[in-house]
Amino acid sequence: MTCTEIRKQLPELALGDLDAEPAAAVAAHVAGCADCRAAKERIGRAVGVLRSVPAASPSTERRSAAVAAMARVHAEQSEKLLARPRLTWAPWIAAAAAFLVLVAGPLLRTRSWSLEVASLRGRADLLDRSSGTWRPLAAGEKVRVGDRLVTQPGTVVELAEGPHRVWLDQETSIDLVDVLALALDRGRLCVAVDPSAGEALRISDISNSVVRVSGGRVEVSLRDVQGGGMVGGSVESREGHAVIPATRTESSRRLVARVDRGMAELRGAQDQRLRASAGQQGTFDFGGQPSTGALADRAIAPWAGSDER
Amino acid sequence: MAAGEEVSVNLDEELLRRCARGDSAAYRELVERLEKPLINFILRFVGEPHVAEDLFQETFVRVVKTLGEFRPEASLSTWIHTIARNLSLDWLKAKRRHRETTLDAAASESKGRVIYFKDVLRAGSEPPDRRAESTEDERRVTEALGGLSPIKREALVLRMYAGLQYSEIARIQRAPVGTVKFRIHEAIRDLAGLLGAEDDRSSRAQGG
Repeated sequence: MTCTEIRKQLPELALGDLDAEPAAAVAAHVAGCADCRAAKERIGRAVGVLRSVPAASPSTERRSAAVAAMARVHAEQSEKLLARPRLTWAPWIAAAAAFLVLVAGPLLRTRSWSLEVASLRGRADLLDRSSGTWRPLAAGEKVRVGDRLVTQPGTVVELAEGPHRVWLDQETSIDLVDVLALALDRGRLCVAVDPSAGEALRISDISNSVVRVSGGRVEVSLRDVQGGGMVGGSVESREGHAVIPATRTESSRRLVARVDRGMAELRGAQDQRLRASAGQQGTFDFGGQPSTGALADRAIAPWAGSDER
Repeated sequence: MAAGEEVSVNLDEELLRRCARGDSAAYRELVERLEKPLINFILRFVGEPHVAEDLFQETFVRVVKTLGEFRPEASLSTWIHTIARNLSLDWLKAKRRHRETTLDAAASESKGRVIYFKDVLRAGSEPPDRRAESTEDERRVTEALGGLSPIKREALVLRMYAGLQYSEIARIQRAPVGTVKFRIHEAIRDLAGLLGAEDDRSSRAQGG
């Protein structure tokens, strides 16, 4: 090897990144070449100096401040997400709303702030974000934007918004981000969307994968990548007792949309878009990369009383 | 991918999922897992301890804000170092804009760095019992690193102070591994060259 070739390798040698064989070749050359030996020493000294300063650590206060700042940002983001007006429905507003629904409804689509519990089989709990308390859900009541809903084993809940329907399977947890936007945290749900309503219903997961259903019936679930079984998200507790059972350790989970009728649009976290039509299923990887394929099992939502629709 | 890597990728994803749910214990775990390489990278890259601590905190805030943008193809460490690097570059740019208002001052400062580095190198060859001067050495190492171009300094600091692999640095700098190696080696040669020039000058002085 020439002196030029040897010198090219000196920084790598000083960093300890050179393999044994070339390192031996450099050593052999340097032993008989005074100029390269001097160059090696200079480079070794420079690296030695850079290594001589002690490693830094963040201060304890700063570490705590960073953790606190993260929690604050998370809280602010959640609040922004949930900051929809919570109107106390004064009678005149209710009258105006009734007028809009009855008279202007067919012409002008009005947005409500809640979904109605159309039917309830078993037991479900609701976290009211405004008070931070849990209470059992009752048929006929409203689930409002910002609420979290958790279904117990053996439970099926049917929610209604205009012509749209949402069925929640047992051990499912959702956040109502908007009336037509649900964040699925664990479990499985089935949506039936009336295409004439002209507005899509969106189901998202924490990795920002979104399933948009503008018409048809689609089952959306979070599945375990390894076992294929249903997995859970966060565990809720109420007065020291778990509202839903502790989940199995999640290794990796996938959002899966199974299309029975109509069509679902899958939007990945980087705005990749795919469409899954009837008889297909759409799958997101954790990072939000969507893919579609044929539906292996056509039976959609046998767990819900949704078959008649 | 080796089995060990697979496990750590899953652990990373699991940790980020907990972070996405607002789990404070997960935030602490994330900070503790990455604080060492991160603070050392930022500190040696921007060269100012107070700024480094601010940028360190801001990095984790940015992590919470952009959790949805994490791609599992990248490692958690690569992703977070990229965030820290972008914040640090923004800060350095803002500082440079501020400085350019006084061009003469900037020019004389860069000359000052050359002189500082030979002092650093001399100090480095002295016995280790001179630890009392470590803060002074630190300041001088910072000055020396500050004399490198940002792209070379970034690559060198990610390798030497954050302990990242060449492949990780390549992802952060969006450059081939060969280019990253070249930058690091050039940075070391630049620093060593200053010593060579100084040695030549002092030997000429002794001879004459």
